[in-house]
Amino acid sequence: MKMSLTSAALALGTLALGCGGRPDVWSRPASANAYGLSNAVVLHDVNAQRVVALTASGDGALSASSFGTGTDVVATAVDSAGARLFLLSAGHRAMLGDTQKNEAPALMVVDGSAAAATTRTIDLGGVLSDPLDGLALDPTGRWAVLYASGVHGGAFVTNPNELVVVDLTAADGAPVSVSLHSFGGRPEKLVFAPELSLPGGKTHLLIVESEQDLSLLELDHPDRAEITVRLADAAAATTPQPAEIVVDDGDPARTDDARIGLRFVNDTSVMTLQLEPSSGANGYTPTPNVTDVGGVPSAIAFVRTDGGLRLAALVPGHDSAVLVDPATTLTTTVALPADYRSISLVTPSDAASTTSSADTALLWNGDAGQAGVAFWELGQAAGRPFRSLETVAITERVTSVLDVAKTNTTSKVLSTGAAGVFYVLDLAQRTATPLLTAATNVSLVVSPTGTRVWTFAPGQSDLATTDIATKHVRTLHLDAAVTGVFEIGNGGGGRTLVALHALGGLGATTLDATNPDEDHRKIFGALLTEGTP
Amino acid sequence: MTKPTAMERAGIAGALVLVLSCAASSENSPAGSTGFGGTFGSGNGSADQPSFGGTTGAGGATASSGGSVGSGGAPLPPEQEVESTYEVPVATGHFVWTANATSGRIAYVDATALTVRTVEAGDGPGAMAVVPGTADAVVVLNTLSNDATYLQASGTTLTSRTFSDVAPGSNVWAVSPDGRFAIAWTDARQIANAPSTQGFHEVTIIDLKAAATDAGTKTLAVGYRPASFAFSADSKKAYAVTEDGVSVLSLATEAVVSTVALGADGVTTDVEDTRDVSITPDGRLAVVRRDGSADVRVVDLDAGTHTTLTLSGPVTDVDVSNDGARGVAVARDTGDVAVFTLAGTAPTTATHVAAPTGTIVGQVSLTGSGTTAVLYSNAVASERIVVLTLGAGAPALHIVKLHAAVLSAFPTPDGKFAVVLHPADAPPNAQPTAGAADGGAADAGVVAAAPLPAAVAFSLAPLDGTQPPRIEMADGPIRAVAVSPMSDAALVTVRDDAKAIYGTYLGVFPSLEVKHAPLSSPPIATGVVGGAKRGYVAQQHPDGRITFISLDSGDARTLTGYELGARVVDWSQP
Repeated sequence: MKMSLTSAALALGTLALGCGGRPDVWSRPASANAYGLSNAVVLHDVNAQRVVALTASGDGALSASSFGTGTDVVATAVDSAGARLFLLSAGHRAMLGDTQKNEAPALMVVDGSAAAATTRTIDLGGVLSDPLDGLALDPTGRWAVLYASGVHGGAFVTNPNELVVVDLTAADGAPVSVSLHSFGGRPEKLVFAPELSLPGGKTHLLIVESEQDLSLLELDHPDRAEITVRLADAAAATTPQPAEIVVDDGDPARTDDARIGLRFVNDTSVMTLQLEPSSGANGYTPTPNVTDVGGVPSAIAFVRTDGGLRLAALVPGHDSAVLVDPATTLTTTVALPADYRSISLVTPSDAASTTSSADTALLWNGDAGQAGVAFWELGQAAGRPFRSLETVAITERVTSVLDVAKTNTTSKVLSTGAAGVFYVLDLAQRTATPLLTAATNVSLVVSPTGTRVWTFAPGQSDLATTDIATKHVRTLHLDAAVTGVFEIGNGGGGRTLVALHALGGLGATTLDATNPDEDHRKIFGALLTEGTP
Repeated sequence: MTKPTAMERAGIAGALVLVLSCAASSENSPAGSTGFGGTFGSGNGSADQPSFGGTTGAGGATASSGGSVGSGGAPLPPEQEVESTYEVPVATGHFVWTANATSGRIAYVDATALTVRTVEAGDGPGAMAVVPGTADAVVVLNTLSNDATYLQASGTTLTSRTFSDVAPGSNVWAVSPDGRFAIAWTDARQIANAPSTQGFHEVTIIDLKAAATDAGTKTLAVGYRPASFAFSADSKKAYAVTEDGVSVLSLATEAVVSTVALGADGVTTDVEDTRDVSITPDGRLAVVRRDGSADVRVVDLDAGTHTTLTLSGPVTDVDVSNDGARGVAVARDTGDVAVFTLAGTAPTTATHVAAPTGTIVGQVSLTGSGTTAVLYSNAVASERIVVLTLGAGAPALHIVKLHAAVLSAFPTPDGKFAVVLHPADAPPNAQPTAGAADGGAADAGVVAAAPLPAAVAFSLAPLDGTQPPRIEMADGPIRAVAVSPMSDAALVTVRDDAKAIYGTYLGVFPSLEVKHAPLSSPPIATGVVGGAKRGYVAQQHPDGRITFISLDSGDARTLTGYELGARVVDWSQP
């Protein structure tokens, strides 16, 4: 989780003292972006070109470690495990008479998975003369891919189809520059496919989406030429623009049935690409299939039914979902009780041990006032292409579904945006417990352990923790407005809540996350001004 | 046989394909006939032999004699053959080829790997034909640019050559057995309301193996409105069956060398009925049948002479074996089945056998091997087919009883099985329609072809009679049948636009197992790619759609948007 903090109080103070021979950084407002890692809260102090890693002891005391970053950090990202923070810096080109040393682009990794934060830096000077400003991380944690996002402006000449693949398992990152073949498009989105069983073995694909084609690059062999799937040719009047990409490995025992599914903006067709054996160096080739689903779909997902794999497409405006058999392109329309726009798979993890191999999907983001969420069991019953469709009557429109990890994986937290209520959804019992909030526009943070959800309203000093299992709520009153909440592991093996405040040079309050007690809170100030805590 | 079958029109190698037209074919109906029937009523025959077509008028031929089941004096409607109404994809040994007239591209699908590639053809590619030989090759007519493109695939490599100056309006191909010559010609029957002053005489001979410096094309004029083409076995001559007779073309000199009349008196001015002319594969003999005539005329195309075989009644169908060794003619009204040899010379005699009692045989379909023929009639609701065995001894007949009326039958090439199509059950109290369709008096003696009822069921019938046929109700009207060249399977394709029901049934021989594969869009063509052991069903879809059916497992695999598939670029490939 990233939060941006600026201390107005500190700014005033530093402005008053902002003269003399100190570096300019001390004359700028203290500001930082905050990131929660497994065992640390990392503050990225942009102006000071450093990160400050806060770790907690068993009693909630914070320790700070400061690490310098490269010059001109253009992109940051936290890996999916929440263990590492990545900072991509553009570096600096020293000119004649420049007091600042020449510095190559670099990728800095802050590892917050251990009791003490550590860092490493991967020098990209060997592959980049000018920095790329986009950073994408493979969910498996093995690769980082740098690309030209265009947000920070480009170099004198930029090849937008150039990617740099960094192998994070290699000591030096083994960065490899890849220039994708292009028919005029430029990358707009990068999608990391899960590990796929392809004819050439287990493969990790990077799917690069441009406005007119897809490129499939093997991360395991970035030096191997990619495969391009043109979505339209020069004669086409319109070019379908990808809106969502989903991937399925198919039968793990087979190497010819992995598939990529796509839906498009303002297009009623969905496409599947089956990755089949080929004599090329890649060993596979995508075979496209398109199927009209009767309306512009709002979401797609690969699902398993009693009849095999299907691509499910939600079609707003028709109160229906369409199941597409990717092998035959046959479609089956399923009437839904509401106009759901989003779908999440919530198949129990022990589904493999049950008699049915069919998935269960959660449908949400339906029409206001009627939709709630629905459980869609994709087995087959007599006369209909699903086993059951059960609605949980939530009157508010669900705007996001938060996953719950580890201890309560059979639960989801449903956010309703500014509605002043959120729900804890029990997937097993098919119940939804409403939790009302006095404030609207609250932020929800699910603890990494999955045991609780933290609720706060940015700018207010109230904080609440809700036990996901028991739905017991405990409200806490802190001494300052909360701008960010992070739950991290502490040095005593327990859990510590770190609530950040945008005052006093950035401050924090720590609480025992498992048994929060205001009486035992610890307050820290001036986190960015050295000396504290 | 060289009669223009649906298979030849489609150019589908090794597969027997028939696409059933919605409307009745009037191929064998008398010219100028009027009135329509159209009920399954009991007609004038027995109640269990209702007429498919109904009758008009009175008098005329009867269907009673020679051991056949009669109808008591009322004339039966003509036999109706069913033929293709679609331009279809074609299949070579390993690929299915299909033209997109709009995009100007030819997509060719590897039926084993199911990979799709496309190639630019000329302007408005349309009719396509397989070029015989060891390679996967086709020739396609580009109707807007009046040229032709020859394409040959080998693995992932494709070679092509364009031949210009093809006669404008050409819409059909004929290709010589050796794959060297292709003839583009115009089938007038595919042109609506063509005035009689349009003769469609022009045909273009293309030498597909011509040197690069040679244009390779030569346009000639043949007789009035050619109806079919045939080639001599050595590919040195081509024969155009026209309304003026058979135009004989020398492919070596690219010239018309003679025109042989087919009329009864041998005079070219005789009014020719060219709609049932079969030419033996060696190009030597033409076998001619005319509606209402008891004669089968065999014309020696080299000598210009002819012999006549006379049956005991009007000949309703004649067929010639693929090897050209023999022919079979049937006279439905008298139940006369005539078997004659065609070994290089025009026959003067035939062996006659009588259709078994209780059967009516108006059509004959010889199997590929030429040793078995299936005889049946779709002019009456007969639940029987008659199998004619042509061994070394005397021809033998036996009955295969089915469980529904017969519309048509498609024997496997080995002659061991047949796919038989059936209509829905007859309405219980249906009556025959009498009088002309316009309500006026019917023309005496005229029996018109009525629209055939749709086939809604099919049987897989062992022809040796050792195993009862299996009947299967389809979920919609049957539109096409394709029989595997290996004789081990058949595809029966269903299309019901009103109910949006589309699918194909895989029938497996000898187990008679039937598997159903629904389709997601209307089928337009069905075939079998023998080299891949897969059947295919091409379907209507703006991006192109084809479903492949494994003949072993029945598993279906659909490719949609195969022009999209051709836009996949593997940069690792050279």
